[in-house]
Amino acid sequence: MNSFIELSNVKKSYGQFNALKDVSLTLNQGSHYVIQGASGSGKSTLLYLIGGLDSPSSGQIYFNGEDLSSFGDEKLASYRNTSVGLVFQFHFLLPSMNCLDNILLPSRIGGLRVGKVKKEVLSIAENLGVTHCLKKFPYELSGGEQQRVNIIRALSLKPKLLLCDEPTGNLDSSNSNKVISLIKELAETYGSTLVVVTHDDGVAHQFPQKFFLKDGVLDD
Amino acid sequence: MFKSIFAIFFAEKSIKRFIIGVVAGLAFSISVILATIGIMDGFEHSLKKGLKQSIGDLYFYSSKGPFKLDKTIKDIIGDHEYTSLLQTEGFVVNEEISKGVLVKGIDPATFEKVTNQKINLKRGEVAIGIQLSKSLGLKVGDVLTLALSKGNREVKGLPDLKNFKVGLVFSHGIYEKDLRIVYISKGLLQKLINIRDRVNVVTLNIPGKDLEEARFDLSEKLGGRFRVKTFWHEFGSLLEAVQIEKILIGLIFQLVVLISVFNVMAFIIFLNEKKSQEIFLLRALGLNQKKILRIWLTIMFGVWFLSCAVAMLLVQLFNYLLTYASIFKVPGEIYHLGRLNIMLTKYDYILVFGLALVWLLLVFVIGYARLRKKPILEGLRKEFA
Repeated sequence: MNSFIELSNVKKSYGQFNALKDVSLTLNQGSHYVIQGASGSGKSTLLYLIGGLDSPSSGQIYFNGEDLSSFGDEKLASYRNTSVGLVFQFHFLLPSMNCLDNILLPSRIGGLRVGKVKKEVLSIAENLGVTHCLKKFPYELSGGEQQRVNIIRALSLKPKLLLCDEPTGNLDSSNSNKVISLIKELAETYGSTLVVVTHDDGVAHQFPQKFFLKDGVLDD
Repeated sequence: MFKSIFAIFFAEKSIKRFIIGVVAGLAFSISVILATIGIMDGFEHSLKKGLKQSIGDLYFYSSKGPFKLDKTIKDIIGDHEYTSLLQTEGFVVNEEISKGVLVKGIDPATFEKVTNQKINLKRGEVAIGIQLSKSLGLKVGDVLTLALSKGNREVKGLPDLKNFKVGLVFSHGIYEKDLRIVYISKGLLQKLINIRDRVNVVTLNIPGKDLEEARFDLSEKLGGRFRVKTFWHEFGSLLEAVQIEKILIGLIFQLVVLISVFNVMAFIIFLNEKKSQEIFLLRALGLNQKKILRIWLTIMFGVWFLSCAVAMLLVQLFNYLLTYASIFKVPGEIYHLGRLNIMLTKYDYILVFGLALVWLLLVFVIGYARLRKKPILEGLRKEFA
């Protein structure tokens, strides 16, 4: 297997507080992982560092052998846009746009031909059963529907790396299982490396490769 | 991409209203400066135009009093259009009122060639300025009495009183000239004050030449006996004062622009706060700083461009009001001109618009630096919390 993402002695501090302490791990291309930990253990911080939304206080994060810290703003933004798909815990859908426009944001930001992406998006929406939600505004949808729209946005550009932050945080166990199955299936379809962050044992059990985070220290 | 992101920025009514207010405020401030500078330029232009209409480009007189326009002087003048005048002080008397005036003896044909003023006088007629006609209640066809000195005939004694018909009421556009000048036939005036064929002023046109340079050349050629002046000389210190005032007021009024620029700053902060959710999400989804900077710069330049365009319209409106509204009629005895109007050069526009842009960009740099400093993750968590 190829080393797709590699973290080497990554530390992240916010003032005096150390959110991550010497975290090192390797993620292989096309594999699925779960990072489990209690609230405040640093799992979301780790996920966003991998996603290029923040930079480590020390240590390196490699993507296909390239150090993310060596990326300029433009390259890092392009990495976030095309290589990474982020499923946020709180959906982060813009209330001023309808769901389809929210989903098409990454393609618009990347300057891609929206028509082609839209076709793909409509097919995923059909699979997830949210076609009827696309013209609606986020506030008109249920939590589960919002989460599925959030997933479609993350997958709209077929990213190599799909990062999910507590994707089932607001869902009941039945919907939770459905969402995880969908994410895994879609990641499989696109050949994406999947990293799911959760505190939920039920979700964690569905992944063969697990990492545990406790007080910023990784234990696999 | 730009279109859809702009739609995110300006989707809300409150933002649209705010930006209209910002543009209106900035436009008004810019137009105040432009109008002020324009009024001063307009004043200078109208004054110079009026002066030129009364005296041509250059004029000269002898320090020793009336002189004969001999061949030597004519040779020096050369091919330039010229006219000679005899001018003297006198009084216009009408009924119980009298007014001190400058009586100018002219040769209407050559005078017209130099000044473009058509003043045709029949025998026994005079032309008076419009303000004098109003002041004395005289109109064309009325008779006035002109009191003139007896020239060199007697050192003391009563002035000569002669009656004339008002043949023409003219306007030079300068209050003082229109109040104090009376035109009369040169030959008649020479006879009245016993000057024979002598004159005391020669005025000429020097087209297409730098007048200061021409004045210097003519002065050299005529020698020390003659004083050569440009047509604006009479109001030279006033025009100089206007120039200085223009610069000072332009600088002071930058404060007005600065106040409006604070509105722009408030708008940047407002947009920053109101749309930070969107900005951080767009950054998380891959929008780079360069593109964000382009969006902000487009907004800034858009505000500036719109403000400049609206300011130009407002200046036109002010100019219309200055020209036609009775409330904006100024007292001519103070301002020399009965009406002010706005006249602006390209240089004025470039200066005022350019300075407004400098202020805007300065404020923008501060606002943008503040936005850029915040990391995406911190912003996302804060904004979507």
